[in-house]
Amino acid sequence: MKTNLHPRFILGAQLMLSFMLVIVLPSCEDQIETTYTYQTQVPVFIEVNSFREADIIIEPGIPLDQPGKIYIYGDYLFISEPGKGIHLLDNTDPGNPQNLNFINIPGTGDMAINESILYADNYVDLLAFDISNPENIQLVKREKDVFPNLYSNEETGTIVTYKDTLITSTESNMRWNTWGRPTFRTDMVMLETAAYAKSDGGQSYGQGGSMARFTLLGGHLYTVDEYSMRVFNVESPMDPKYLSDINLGWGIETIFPFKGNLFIGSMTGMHIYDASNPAEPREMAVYSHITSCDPVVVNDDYAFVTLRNAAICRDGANELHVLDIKDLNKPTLLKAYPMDNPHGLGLSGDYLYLAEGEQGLKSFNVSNVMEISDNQLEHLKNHVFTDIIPGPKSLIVIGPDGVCQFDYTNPEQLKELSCINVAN
Amino acid sequence: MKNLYALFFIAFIWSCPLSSKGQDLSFVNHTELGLLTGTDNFGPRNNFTFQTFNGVQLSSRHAVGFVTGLDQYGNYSVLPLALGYRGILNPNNKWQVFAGGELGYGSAVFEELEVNEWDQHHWRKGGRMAQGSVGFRYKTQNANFWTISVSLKRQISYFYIGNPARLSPNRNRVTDWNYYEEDKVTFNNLVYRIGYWF
Repeated sequence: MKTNLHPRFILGAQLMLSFMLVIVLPSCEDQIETTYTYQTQVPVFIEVNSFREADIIIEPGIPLDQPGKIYIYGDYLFISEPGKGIHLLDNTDPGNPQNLNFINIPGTGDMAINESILYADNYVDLLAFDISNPENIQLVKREKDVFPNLYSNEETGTIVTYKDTLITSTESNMRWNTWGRPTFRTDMVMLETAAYAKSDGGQSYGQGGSMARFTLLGGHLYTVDEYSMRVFNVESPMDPKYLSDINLGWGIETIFPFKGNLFIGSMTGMHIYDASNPAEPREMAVYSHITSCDPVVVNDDYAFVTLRNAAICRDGANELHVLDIKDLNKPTLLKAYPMDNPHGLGLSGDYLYLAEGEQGLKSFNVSNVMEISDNQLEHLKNHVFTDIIPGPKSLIVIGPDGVCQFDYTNPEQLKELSCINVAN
Repeated sequence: MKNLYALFFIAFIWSCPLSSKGQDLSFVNHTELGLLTGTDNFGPRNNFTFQTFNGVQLSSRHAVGFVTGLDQYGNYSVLPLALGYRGILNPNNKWQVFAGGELGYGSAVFEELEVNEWDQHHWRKGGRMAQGSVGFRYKTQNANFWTISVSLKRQISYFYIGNPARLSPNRNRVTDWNYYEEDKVTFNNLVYRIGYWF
């Protein structure tokens, strides 16, 4: 067949064919490189003797790093660093709190203060410190093995804790399995409740947030962990004695005392315990709701419960529930209000302050509990807040970025007094 | 996004002032449709591609310009933004051989964040792109051209899966996620195109 194609064209075609043979023919396969990054907790095993023998060191004040919970006692403000220790600040002037000391307590989670005695957990032990002179804090008692659920092997005295770790890998066996990644997080319940400061049985207690897991009532210290409530007799403040352990189910998050009763927030509901016999609290009622994270605050007639959707409280709602608790045996839901992402809350008279996580802080007038959403007063959005204590001098609010205090003498208009920010 | 702006800027500098110098620099458009082929984990993939080259003819043999278009990889759409070159081997013939090259960025601007019922976030990000082509062009009566070409195209993209650890996670901050998976995907394509050049 005769072709009239130009010779240059044929040359070009040949060039192109050779080019294709060399470069194109090796098949065009896509390449995939995958990097898997996890935030997880890796187990760390510790011998109990190692921390029992080590001295608890009181250091000069250090900047906040990862503030967890707040507690006030007199003019002092206590800020915990979960797992590390407790900051002690002089809060005589809420506009200018002074960082005094850092009590180095490895494995600590929560605290409570009774008659100048600070109780804090140290892994499996409960410690009591005399803080009557903040310049000279003394460890006065170590009650051993009262939080035994941390033991991985009680006989050898080995406990297991979990350390936050970021793992990066290109191994394909690190791919996320929606149903079964070995996740170790047990501590993500970081909850607070505004427990009221209140003198009880002649003892003077401090005041914790609504997300507290330690509380004092009637000469007894109550602590909650995932599954149970532990009772300690602290009628002699320097000598706490472990009494008993009450099983509460699962997902226990917070404890809030009010007038001889204990209100325990869990992921599934609110438990009410009658503590008129403080050594043996008796269950009165359980108010159940959908699985959600929820601290509780109460006044004489109503309980305010926040439900929050979070990584661990999957499928949760973001709501504020108001319960009628005039009959403590029969709490009934009056109304549920939609919220953004409510964490801790604090009640001061007719005013409710609600930490909305990344959405900041809201204040409400709750004199009419059926119309709370119509009575929102303020919404401060410039900080991330997780818990609140309406203290005698200031409204103290904590979040991952630090601790702020507001003047709330005019509850309708909060005035920022000071903010202590984390160091980094 | 910063890359995109930079690229636009370079392309603007690259192509526009040349045509306004008062020299005999004529505008060139080369628009092509084609088939993007390759092999992924699931076997062969064949998808649609479209690109348009806009630039200036520097001489009878050389043209430079800016290339954009749309590449489809399954359900993933990429907007290429690149600088391009066209060279013609034998500009005086009826059938001419040409070669081209593009270097730039493939943007995943059309992709949206998807969040599934377990609050797992899925999103995609574009990446560098490079392409080399050879082909023929056939001169029509009004001195425009039909073209047929074969190219090798390499497109990098990043696919992400994240399970957030906080409420409004930052995509670029790994610590905002409990689980963060990055798939760097390099698409190696063999592309067949037909086009029109004027």
